[in-house]
Amino acid sequence: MAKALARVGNTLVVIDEAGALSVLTLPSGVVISTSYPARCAALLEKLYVAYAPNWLLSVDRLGAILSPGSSNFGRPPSAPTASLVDLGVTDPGQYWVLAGPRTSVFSYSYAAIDSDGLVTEESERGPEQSYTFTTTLPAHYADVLVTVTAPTDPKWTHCRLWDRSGGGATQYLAESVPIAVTSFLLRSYGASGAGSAFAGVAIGSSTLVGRVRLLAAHKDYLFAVRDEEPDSLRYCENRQPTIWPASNQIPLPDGKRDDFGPTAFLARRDELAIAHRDSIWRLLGSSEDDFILQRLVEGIGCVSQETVVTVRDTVIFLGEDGVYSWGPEGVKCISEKVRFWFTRDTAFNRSQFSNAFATFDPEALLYHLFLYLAGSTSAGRWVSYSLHRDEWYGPHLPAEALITPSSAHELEDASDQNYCAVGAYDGKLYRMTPGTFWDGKSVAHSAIPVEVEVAFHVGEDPDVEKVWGQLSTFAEVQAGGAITITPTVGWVNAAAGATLSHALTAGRVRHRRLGLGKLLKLKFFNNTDLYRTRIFGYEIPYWFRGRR
Amino acid sequence: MKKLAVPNLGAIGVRTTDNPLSQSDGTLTKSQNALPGQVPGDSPGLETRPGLVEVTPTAASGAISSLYPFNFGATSPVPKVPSLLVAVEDASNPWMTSLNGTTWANVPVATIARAQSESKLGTLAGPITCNQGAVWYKGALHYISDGYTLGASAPTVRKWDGSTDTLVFTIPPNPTSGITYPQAVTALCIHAGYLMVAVMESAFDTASPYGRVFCWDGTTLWPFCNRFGLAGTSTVNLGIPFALVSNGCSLFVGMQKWQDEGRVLQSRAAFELGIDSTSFAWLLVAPFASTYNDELVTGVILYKGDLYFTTWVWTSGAGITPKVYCLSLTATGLVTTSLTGPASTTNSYFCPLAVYGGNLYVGAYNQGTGALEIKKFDGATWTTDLTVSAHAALARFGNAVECNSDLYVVVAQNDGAGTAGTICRLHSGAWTYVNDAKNFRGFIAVNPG
Repeated sequence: MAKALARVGNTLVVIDEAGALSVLTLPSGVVISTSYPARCAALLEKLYVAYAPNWLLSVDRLGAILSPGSSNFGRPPSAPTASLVDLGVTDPGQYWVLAGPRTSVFSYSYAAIDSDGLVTEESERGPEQSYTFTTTLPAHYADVLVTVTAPTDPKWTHCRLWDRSGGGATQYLAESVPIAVTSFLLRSYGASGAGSAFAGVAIGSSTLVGRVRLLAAHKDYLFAVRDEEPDSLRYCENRQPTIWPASNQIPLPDGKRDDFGPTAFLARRDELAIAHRDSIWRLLGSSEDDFILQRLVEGIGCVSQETVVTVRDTVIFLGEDGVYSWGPEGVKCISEKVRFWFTRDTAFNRSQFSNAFATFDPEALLYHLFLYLAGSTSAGRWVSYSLHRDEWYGPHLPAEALITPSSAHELEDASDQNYCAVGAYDGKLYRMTPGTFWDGKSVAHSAIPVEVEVAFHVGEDPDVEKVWGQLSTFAEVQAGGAITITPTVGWVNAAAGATLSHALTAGRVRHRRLGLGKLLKLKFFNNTDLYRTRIFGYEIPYWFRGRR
Repeated sequence: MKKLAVPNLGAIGVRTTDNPLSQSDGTLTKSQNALPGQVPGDSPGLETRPGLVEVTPTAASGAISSLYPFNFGATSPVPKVPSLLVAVEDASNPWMTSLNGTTWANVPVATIARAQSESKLGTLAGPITCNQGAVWYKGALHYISDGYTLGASAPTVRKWDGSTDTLVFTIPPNPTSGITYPQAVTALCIHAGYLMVAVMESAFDTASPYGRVFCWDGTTLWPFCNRFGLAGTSTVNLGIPFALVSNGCSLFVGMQKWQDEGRVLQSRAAFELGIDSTSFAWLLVAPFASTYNDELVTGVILYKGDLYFTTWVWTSGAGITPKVYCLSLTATGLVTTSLTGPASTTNSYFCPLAVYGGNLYVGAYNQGTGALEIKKFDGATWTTDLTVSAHAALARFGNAVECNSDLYVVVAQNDGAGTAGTICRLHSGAWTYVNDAKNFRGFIAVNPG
């Protein structure tokens, strides 16, 4: 089962492997911002979604049920009218478990809870109320809404829900976020088979609020950085992503030293790092007992979480002045050969680097980085880094004017094969498809314009006039199509010469003599949608003028 | 004389520099939409980047941003178990299914509707039923349905998704010919992610037979070719599209036209909608000369990079024999005869079956002797691999599929009463009959599970 989650406008959408879209129903009070990307992390068979939503959300394995990923953490500063408590976890050691379809008896109290999560004062519990869970087996769930009356005394910061089902002792069940909350939505899951079991809610406290900007899963924890608290790395209880104790936080030394704060999580092997724009810190330790941060590198950072791609044991990401990798050899720049792409405004709009995104082609071992054309505010270009050649190619552009990439990620198809997926501003998802020489839809598409320019050939000595002889070009044989070749002979400011044509029905074509000049440059162009353009190479004899 | 040689363009990627004279030979300054070949360590040059092919049939309401994979729905992969589905000329149980090719179960009409009866093809049916009429496409069996009345309603294609059988589309009237109710769907084929549909509008043994090709993208039926004509000529009716095959780039169409030559056409582009004789976009890749008269194309198939097409002899005559032709796709227009059948025998034919185990398999029928044989071609030599024995003359070849590493060939029968059909299975080099004495329609498909 391979699906993808995407933000589309102010909605979250699941895209199935056939490309069908389904909009997720959002819980009450949850709003998806069109200003932020959705950032996700997977833990315990749920996908947690942050940044775009004003509340940390979780999407379950069906891709259809959406609930807040935590009772409090990451919720909006202004509380919604209902607190949803996700009971979808079933660890009996941590959770209150009941059996069978049943009637539950709830009551509630008011509590004053301090910033460390400690209850400093609590009211008497109110009258009991009965609610019946009716669960349809197998494996379905039932909800009941327990309504409470908001307290009038401002000293009460929370409501606490209690249960006295089955005639037993009253048990603490759940805790609301502050005072504005007037109801709890409780969800019980029925197990398959006879004698359904219900999982209760975890006992915990979490009082902090604020939009989660960065999110990552690591060693069975969720780690997060919130907008309101850029100098603190927060994490949930181990394997309990709904519980975020106030004590589970690590100070981020560089969190407030610039206007940006933490910009990305980087994960490789068994390591997690958190990047700013000009520094990277590595998280050491494996539990709350020994988590500490250690500076990994200074002066290098990441500008966009969406450019981070992990390939095997190496992370590749976009920094302020180029593309970097963090692998077994440490952090190093891999874009020195094309440095001007990233240090000058001639090729790309560097002010939009924070909106760049990337994906990885697992078949061709290419890192595709989508950037904004200089002067443009949309990602209309991308460049490609070949991992096995350590070379860069591009910039590429879509053949269809309507296709402007807006996101990219490696996804799985119906055959469980990974592929490069590209989302676009036209609301469509595109697949990078080898062997297809057009962009768009089969019934309406445009041929991909291939344009290759080689650097000037100096012929050993750039200051010696040369006679450039007959050019021979080599290409893959096709049933049709032709490559247009434009030679430029002369000095660096020479005008382009008359074009040549290499018919693709021939593997080798010998062209005319190219003429007299100190330098030679060639440009190859083709844009047929029917035939592949594969240029193997070329050769040309030349003589120094006046010599044979 | 000196020689400047760049034998492996793309081995050096793009460089950005302020000094145009400092670069090594072969260094790129621009590589727009060109990437190195994808074989590590090889020297395959620069090639066109992969195309951006639309995946979503319906656009979302805004830009798709923040893509994330969502793959943990199944905690452990569920092994896929493919099964066979074969159409039967039976009103009550029009399909049979099998998980192992040995044990077969009836599928009642309430589960999957009846596939198109051979009688719908009229005189085109002749002795052959080898056109592909059932394919697995976008998670469902798509098949030519029998749910229409000749001359009174239009042919339809239905699908079965494993639980529900539904109508997919109905062939619309032809605005060019004025034909309201096309006669039959003749073939289905998947091409560039689309389901291609060949349609015969009128009986093929008329002076002006009409045919069209449509494509189905999962939501919309598009006219791919409104009329088969030749550019710059008055010839606008080249016959009935009878067989389809795709090489991923072009669609090849085998044509039939009574008392005329057969043809094989190739689409110039992967898709050009609505083409006809005035905006002609087909390449006539196998224009039969006069000596090919009365050889009608029964099927087209790709083998080792070339297109093979087979013929059927409609009338007897000197020098007229069914053949297997090879059309070179690297040397355009070069057609050679690969195999020649019996001479001067009406209704003898070859038909393509499958490429399996590196060999090309075709069916061969000799009207004179009644022999029904499966021929095998290894790229150099033709041999007879199986003589389908003990079956009446009404038997004829249907489709072939590979399932669980075995090759299955349906031997069909016309839609009259009879039990001449069988299914031949090739397993580890030996043929057996695994579902004998049935009235098979000829369509067979694999449900991938």
